[in-house]
Amino acid sequence: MAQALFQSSFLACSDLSSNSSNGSDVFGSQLRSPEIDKSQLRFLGCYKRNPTLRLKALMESPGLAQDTVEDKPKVAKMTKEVPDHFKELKHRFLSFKKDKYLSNLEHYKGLAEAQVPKFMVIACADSRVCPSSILGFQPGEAFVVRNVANLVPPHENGPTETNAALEFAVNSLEVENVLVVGHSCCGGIKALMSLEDEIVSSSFIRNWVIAGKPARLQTKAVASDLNFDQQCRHCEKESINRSLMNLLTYPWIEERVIRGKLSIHGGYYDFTDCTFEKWTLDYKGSTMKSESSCSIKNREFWA
Amino acid sequence: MSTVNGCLASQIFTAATSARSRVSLRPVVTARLNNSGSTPPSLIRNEPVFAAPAPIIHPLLKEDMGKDSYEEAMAALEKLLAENGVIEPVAAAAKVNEITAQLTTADGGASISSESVERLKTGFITFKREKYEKNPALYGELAKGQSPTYMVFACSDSRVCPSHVLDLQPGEAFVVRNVANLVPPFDKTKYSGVGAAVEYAVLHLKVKEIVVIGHSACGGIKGVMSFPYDGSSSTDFIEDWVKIALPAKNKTLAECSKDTPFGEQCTTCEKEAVNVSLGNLLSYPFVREGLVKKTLALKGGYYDFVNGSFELWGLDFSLSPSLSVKDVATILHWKLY
Repeated sequence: MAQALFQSSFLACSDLSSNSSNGSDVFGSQLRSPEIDKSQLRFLGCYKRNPTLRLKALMESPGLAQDTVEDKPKVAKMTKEVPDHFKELKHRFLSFKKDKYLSNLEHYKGLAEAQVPKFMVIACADSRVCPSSILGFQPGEAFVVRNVANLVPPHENGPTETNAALEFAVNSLEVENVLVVGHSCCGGIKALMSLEDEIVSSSFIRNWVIAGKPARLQTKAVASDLNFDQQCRHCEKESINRSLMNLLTYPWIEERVIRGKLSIHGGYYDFTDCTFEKWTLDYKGSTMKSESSCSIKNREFWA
Repeated sequence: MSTVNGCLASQIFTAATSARSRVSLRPVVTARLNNSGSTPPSLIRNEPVFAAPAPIIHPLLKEDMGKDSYEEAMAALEKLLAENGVIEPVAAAAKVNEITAQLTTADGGASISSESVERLKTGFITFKREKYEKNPALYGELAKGQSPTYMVFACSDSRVCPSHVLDLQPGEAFVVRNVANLVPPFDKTKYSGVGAAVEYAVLHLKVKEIVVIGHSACGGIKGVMSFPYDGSSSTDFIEDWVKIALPAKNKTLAECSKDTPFGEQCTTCEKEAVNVSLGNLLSYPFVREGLVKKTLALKGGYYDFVNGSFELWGLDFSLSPSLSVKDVATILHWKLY
């Protein structure tokens, strides 16, 4: 019977003054902070540490080391790679705090009370397409969901994290705009287009991107004479439009769009030449819903 | 003006002649120009145009171009269509007018979103000028592929974008954002979205760190602390999603006294939920493998924007050789409900 002790210890990097001390004395001191006892997740309700499996949390902080298990040399060896990323993230946060948070303190205090974003953005998890970077969203402006291939599954597919976020943004936060942003060279869309070729053998990715199958079918229907990369591009845009139409399958979204309280937009970010194309869904009522295509308006191209 | 016209025309011709080699050219346009003998495809229809099959005119619209040069662009397009013999000149004019008509509809009405959309445009143009054009080497490399070091799970909350809080640059982190930054346990049918992201990041992108970041005043955690979960439900999807954090709620209620204010209970739950997510990550076999091989590390974080602080903790995972399959199964059993 394996029992494991899952411990976590906390340290806040809240002060600029602590920035000065570095982690050189991390391994030297062994301190047991009372904070450790505050939060512990215990497997099977047993404190006893079993030597077969141990999970321990390791914390690096300026001037303070917390070593919760007795084998110090092992800890010292394993944390050689860890400090780099810890330090990096700490440095990043402190520069954010100095450059942005403290210089706009009132704004951030206001945000701490409540958020009133006007946008909800559904974007790809791709590291190159953060909506805050490319569209310049500041804290408080956009409620952002990021998933693989920026897909919005239809209502009938059942609960996913994307529609939970949609429900929250539309019903609770009452955003005015929903923007689905796709992008060039999307790995998820490429996986979707490669599905039957068995290049994608991982079934997790398959089970998710299959929600974009209508886009793939449409692409194959109109663009089958193009090469694979061009087909992928077509599919990327097609899947944005499919996602926009899937948004309308949610009754509380459709209702707000008809009343004019909510606008639905699509966007396509091409990072090979840094251009952004944007369009708005033109939806008046249920007559258009049954068609396989939708009408758009206010199309713009920024370069 | 004439130079503008000439420039536009030459752009069109360049596009036409080097259609095969231009990656950025829209695919359907390429097809049209190459197959001059075929009938015009059903792109330009009587009903408004679908976004994907783009008419050739669009790449020429710059944000500072006025209406005049737009008319010239129309004329140039007409000329191109006629010259390439794709469409008869008269028909070309009609088609071009159709495109124009579709594009200029709904210009007059001021929608509630027009101001918001202007904001997007400004944002994008600023990004392009301040970042993209100033770092051509970086963005050139990124256009070819990505190899982020981090995978970040953050909340969808508008106040906690990891690009701001952790100053992440494009290309550094594969970011998944959902309500309450939750990572559900391994389930291929129910939780394929998050699973697909983790799988892609760990197996294909080979990230080195997975960081789950919680935050203060989280609406999702407040929800899980407030929803009764007694069989009734008031939302379509939210309750179902945030119930992933129920172990954190149970732990919080067990540890906090009844007098603890609700706000403090939520804070505890927010941090515990990060630990629940980290534990759930262990239920993915490829994550476990990465941890054992030391190619992957897990971290938890908590961003408190009320006080302006950030906590970061790491998870150290070690296996001794005597670990048996049965032991692993016992651990998973704990996590799966």
